[in-house]
Amino acid sequence: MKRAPLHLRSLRRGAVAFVGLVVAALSAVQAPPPAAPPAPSPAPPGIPGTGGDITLELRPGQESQLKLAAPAFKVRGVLSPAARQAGALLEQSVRTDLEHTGIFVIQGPAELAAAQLTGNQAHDFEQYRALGNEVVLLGEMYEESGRLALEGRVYDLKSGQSILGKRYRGGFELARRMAHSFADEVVLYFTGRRGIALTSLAFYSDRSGFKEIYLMDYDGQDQRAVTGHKSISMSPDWSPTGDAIAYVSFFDGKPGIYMVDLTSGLKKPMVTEGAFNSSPSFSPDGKRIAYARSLEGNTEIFVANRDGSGSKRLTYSPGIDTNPAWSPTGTQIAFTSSRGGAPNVYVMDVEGTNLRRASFTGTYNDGAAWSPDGKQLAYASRLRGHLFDIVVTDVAGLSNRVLTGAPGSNEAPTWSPDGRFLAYASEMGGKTQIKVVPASGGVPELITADGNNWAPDWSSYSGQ
Amino acid sequence: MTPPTGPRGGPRSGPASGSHGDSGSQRGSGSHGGVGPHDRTVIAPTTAARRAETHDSLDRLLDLRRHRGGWGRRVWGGTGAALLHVVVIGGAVLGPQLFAKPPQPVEYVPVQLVPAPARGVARPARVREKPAPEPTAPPLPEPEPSAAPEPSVAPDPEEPTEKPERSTAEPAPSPSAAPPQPATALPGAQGAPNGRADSPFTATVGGVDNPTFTYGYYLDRMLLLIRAQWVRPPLGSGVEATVHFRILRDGTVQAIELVSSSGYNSFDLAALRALQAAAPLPPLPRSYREGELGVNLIFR
Repeated sequence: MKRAPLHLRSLRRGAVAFVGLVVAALSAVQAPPPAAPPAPSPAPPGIPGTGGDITLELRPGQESQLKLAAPAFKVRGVLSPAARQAGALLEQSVRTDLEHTGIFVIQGPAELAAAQLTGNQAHDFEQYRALGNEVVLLGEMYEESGRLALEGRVYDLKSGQSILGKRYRGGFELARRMAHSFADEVVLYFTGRRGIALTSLAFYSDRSGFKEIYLMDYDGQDQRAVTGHKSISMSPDWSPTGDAIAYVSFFDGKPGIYMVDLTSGLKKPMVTEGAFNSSPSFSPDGKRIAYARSLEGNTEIFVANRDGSGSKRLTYSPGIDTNPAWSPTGTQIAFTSSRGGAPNVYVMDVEGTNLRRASFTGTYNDGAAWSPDGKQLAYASRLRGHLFDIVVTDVAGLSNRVLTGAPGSNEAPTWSPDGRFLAYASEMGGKTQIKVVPASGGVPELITADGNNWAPDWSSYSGQ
Repeated sequence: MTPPTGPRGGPRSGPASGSHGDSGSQRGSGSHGGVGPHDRTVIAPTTAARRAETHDSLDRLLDLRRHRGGWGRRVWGGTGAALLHVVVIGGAVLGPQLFAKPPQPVEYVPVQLVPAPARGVARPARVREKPAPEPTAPPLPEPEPSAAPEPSVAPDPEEPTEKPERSTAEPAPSPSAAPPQPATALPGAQGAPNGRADSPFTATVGGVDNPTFTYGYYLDRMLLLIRAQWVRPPLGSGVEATVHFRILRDGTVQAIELVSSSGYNSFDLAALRALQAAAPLPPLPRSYREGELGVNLIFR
C-alpha cells in the first residue's frame, strides 16, 4: 500500500481530526442518526463460526516474559547413533533459539527436576504450572526410514489446550534447520512475528588471507564463503528476496559492484563503469540499488537499476556523500555526508529531495541502517575519543540511545528482520569481530572468531 | 572506495534494505501433507501484506469518519453557515459527553483487568452477573484429520504437518483439569502461587461472552503487543475508548471499529493506531476451533 509522504499524512490527520469534531457536533444535534454507521457488524455472541466476542481492557503496565517449561524431548522407538546425535543437536538448537529470542523465561530439564512427573499429561501440566510456568513445549523425536522426525507441541498450561503442533522431518544433516523452523514457529505464536532463527548474516572476512564475502546463520553457525576472488571483496548487501548478495570487489583492479546469485553461485557485474563504485544498497523491491560513486575525487550517491542501467545521480554536494541505505518503505535513502563539516547521517527522499540531517550525536557519524519498520536509524557515532559506538535514533523524534560501550570501537550496524536485534562489527585489540545485541539494549554476544570480520548485513526473513 | 567510507575506512553496505519483506514463500512449506486447517498459518500472508491489510482497515475507518463528515456538510450546508457555527461550537462544548455514546449496541460484560493483588476480591461478584454457561466441556481438540499420508519423499524438512492428536492415550486434560466454567477463570484458584504474579494483566481467561476462548496466555500477549504501541494521551483518568476488531486465525486484525468514542479524537486515533501498529497479532491457538475471535478492547 502506498503511503503518502509524511507531511501529507499529518495534513490528512489534521483534516480527519477536524472532521471528527464536526461529526461530534452534528451528532449532538441531530436527533436520530440518519444512518447507522456501516459497522462491519461484529458478530453477536453465540453465532456459530465466530464464538462471540471477548472484552478486554488495556491499561498502562509492564512488559513481561512468558514462562515456558521445556522438559527434555521424548524419543519414540530406538534411534540409530547418527539419529541420536542429530536429535541431541536438534533439541539443543530449539532451546538455544528460544533462549536467544528474549521472549521467554525457560525452565529446562534441570529447573524442572523438582517436578514429579508421572507421564500423565494432566498431572504433569499441573506440575509445570505449580513451578510458575504458563506454557509448556513438548518435543518428541523418532527415526523414520533414515530420517529424523520432530513432533513439537506447545500447550497452554492454564487451559491444558494445544497452542500449536508441528511435525518436521529431514535428513540428519538438517537437524539444526528443523530446530530453527520449529523455534521460529513458536515465536510466531507468541509475538505475531516469525522468529529469526532461519535468517542469515552476510559479512566479509580476511580469514583466508584475502577479503571475501561470507554467510553465517543468525547465531554465527555454519560460516561459509560465497566469493573466491582472492582479492578484496566487501560491503555485502542482501537482496530483499534473499536470492542474491550485492558486494564490492577490487578483483578487476578498481572497485566495482557485483552480485552473487546464491542459488547458482554465479557472479555478475552490477555497476562497474566509472572509476570507483561502492556501498551498494538494494531498494526494498529489489529492482534498484543505491550506491556511492567517486567522480574526480568527490563521492556522490547514485541509484541504478539492478542490472546497472539507468544510473542517476542524487546528491550534488562538494562534500563526500557515501554509504546509502534504502529505507524499508522505499521512499527514502539515508547516507553519510560531510557537507556540513563533520560526517553525519542525512536522510533524503529517493529523488534526492527533502534532505535533512538525522544524526546529532558524537563528532563523526556513519553507516546508517534502517530498522525494519522504518522508524529508527542505527549508526556508528564517535562518542569516546576516536572510538565509535552504535547509536539508535528515532527518525521522527530524534531521541537517541547508545547500545554499545567500552571497550572497543563499534560500527556498521544492521538490524535483524524482526527489529529485535542489531549486529555490528566490534574492533578491540586490533581484531574486528561481529557481535549481536538486543535492540532494546543488553549484553552483546560475539558470533565470529576466525580472522577479522566486518560489515555484517542481516538478511530479510527470506534470506535463508 | 577509499577514505570516505566507514568510520575506519571500511566501506559498508546499507544493511536495512528490504529487511521488511517477509516473503511468504520463504519456508517452502507449501506442501503440507494432511495439514489441518489450523496449521496453514505457516503459509500465512506475508507480514507486509498483513500490515497492509490493517492499514486498509484503518483507512476504511478514517474514510468512514470522513464520510460522516461529508454527510454532515450535505445536510447542513444548505441551512447556512451560521447554524453550522452554532452546531460546531455546541459540539465542541458538548461533544465529549454526547459523542461518547456507542454508535451501536454491543452486548458485553467487561472483564475487569484489575491489578493482580486486588483481583481476588473484585472478580467473583462481577463474574456472577452472567449466568454460567451451560457446562459443556471445553471443546476437545477433535482428532485431527489424521495425517494423511505424507508425501513419501519430503526433501524439505520444514514441512509442517498436522499431527494426529493421540486421542486415546492422552485425552486432553482440560475436561477434568479445567474449571467447569472457563469463562469465569477465577485466577489463583488452581494453586499456582506464582503463576502470573508479575503479569501486567490479570489472567483474563476468556471474555464472558465467549466461553470457548480460554487462552489467557493469548490475551496477555495480545494486550502486551498493543500496549507496546500505545502511549496514553494525557487526558483525565475517566477517558476511555472502546475498539472492536476481529482476529483471524493467522493473527490478521480486521474490521477495526471504534464502538465507543472517548470524545477526544486524539485519544480515539491513538487507540486505533496502536492497534494497527500492533498487527499482526499472534495466530490463534490451534485448539481454538472458531475461524476468528472478536474483541472489544477498552483503552482506558
